[in-house]
Amino acid sequence: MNNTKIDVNIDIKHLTRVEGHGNIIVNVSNGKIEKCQWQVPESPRFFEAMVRGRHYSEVARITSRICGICSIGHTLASVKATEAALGIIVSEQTSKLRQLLKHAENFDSNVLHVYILAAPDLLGAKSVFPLIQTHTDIIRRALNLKRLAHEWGSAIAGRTTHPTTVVPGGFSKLPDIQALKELKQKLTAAIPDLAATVETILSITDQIPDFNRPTEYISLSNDNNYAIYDGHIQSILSDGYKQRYPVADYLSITNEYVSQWSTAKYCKNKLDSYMVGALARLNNNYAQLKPQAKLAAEKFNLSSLCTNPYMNTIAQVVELVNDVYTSLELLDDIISHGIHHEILVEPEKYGQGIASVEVPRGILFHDYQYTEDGLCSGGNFVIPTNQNHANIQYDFEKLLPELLEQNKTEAEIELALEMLVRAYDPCISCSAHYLKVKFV
Amino acid sequence: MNYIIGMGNVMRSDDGVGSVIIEYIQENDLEDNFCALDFAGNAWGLLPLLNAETEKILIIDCAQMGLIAGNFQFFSLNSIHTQNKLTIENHESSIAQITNLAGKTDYIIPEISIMGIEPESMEFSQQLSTKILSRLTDYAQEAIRFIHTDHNSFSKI
Repeated sequence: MNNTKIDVNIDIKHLTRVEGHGNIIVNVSNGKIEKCQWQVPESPRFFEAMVRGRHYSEVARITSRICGICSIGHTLASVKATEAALGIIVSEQTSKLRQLLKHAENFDSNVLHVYILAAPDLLGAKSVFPLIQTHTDIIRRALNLKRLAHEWGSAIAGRTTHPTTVVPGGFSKLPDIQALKELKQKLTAAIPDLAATVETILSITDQIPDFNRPTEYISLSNDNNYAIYDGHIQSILSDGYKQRYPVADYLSITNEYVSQWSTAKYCKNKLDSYMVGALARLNNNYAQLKPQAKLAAEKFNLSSLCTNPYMNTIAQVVELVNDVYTSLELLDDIISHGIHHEILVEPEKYGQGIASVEVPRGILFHDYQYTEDGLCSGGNFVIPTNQNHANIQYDFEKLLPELLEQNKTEAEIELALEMLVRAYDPCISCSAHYLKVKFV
Repeated sequence: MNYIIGMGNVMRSDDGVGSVIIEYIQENDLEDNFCALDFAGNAWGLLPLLNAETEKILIIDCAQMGLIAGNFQFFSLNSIHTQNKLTIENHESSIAQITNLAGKTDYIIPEISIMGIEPESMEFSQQLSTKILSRLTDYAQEAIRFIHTDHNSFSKI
């Protein structure tokens, strides 16, 4: 029987297992879609205003607080932008240690999302807690990997959340070589858990909805590695057409605009929307994945170009493998060269600096201006989740008619929409900066 | 090993008192048979400490408990478990949620206590309120005394 004449009323305020507050509102009357919205009601947080008047040495400490889970990424984007503004070129050692730190954050966040936030949907549970009884080994493995992530970040940056040792010009305190050797042992010891992670998620991939909507995918990219710390902006369309842009052109790529039902801005580039995050990274940079990560991707039949947004969670699993194997190579390199004491690089000039890193949820931009006395006179941040909001909305608008056509019940439609939003792993509270602050 | 851990948001005035106390302990070399760590807002950092080698953990955090601003109270983590919904709805999660999850997956949960400090201000500011700042040394000393003492009861001060 076709139920395209059904009524559907979904009013989710607020969606669970995501960071921040987002609403899903759907009204279908007699089969006619009257409302289908992804709403963001979060308040703006004015970090752009908080950095004004601050000395360059303080700015990253403030902006790391934009996000508790992506605080490493915000710190790195911040110090890189500040260094660009101040003409600071950091050493190769600093760059390698920061890459190692960036992988720690990606690993930490992806473990959290895959196991704690997304897996309950795939295992038919409302949250992670019922899984303790039914899937104890999986939850224990999740916690062990989370523990590893914290030890990893803390070994490099003092602490994982709001790192203390990453400063403009280098590191205020360098990790000792013994700590790096111990970290290498821990990462090596975690490889069986990585393999088990792939097998666990592989066993439940039949729960991932079959939904495709080609869009534009934007991430960092470079020719040397799977870019998460440095590179150009790269766009790839569903026909495989790629285009690179300088990071300094980020405003003409993100094109933020205001949506009437969202306090977070929307973004668009070549199409009405674009996607950022693990799937966008994988679509752009599949060739740069480590061989072990490619093998994992092949098990999921995941390659570039994938247009199913639900597969973002699977791309995160592939990245877990890539993070560990990339970091083992970095550690070998750093350990073989030894850790050398370095003096922080001093500013050469004061002006504007723009930088980008990949945080777990996608490409992140920081942009600052500094006066001659080293004080910040203005800042701008474009956060990954606000780049994804428009794409989520357009996904909704394609997905809902398909679900109705498939005779899905209201409960099934609700779950499908919830899972779609969760697949983006949104950090909603970070994304809200609706008001444009004009400094006078 | 014993641990004193600071938690809170240093961007929200007295909410950051835990982190500031840890900084005070570290800068004044007061770590004596315990380790002082600042977790900021992320309770997941507890995981590496939940093992047989950890005897006691004291978490210092700002807590709205109806006391006079600046006063503090020690209490057991177990005493607040029942007030927490056992759902993880965001990325950061609470201390109770993390320890509950870990305890049910064979992690060893040591004695965990909380030193709650009643705030005067939770406004957006990187400065502690005058009242809290003036008692910083007291807080650090009381926290250190607590971690070195066996105790069966908790007191308001």
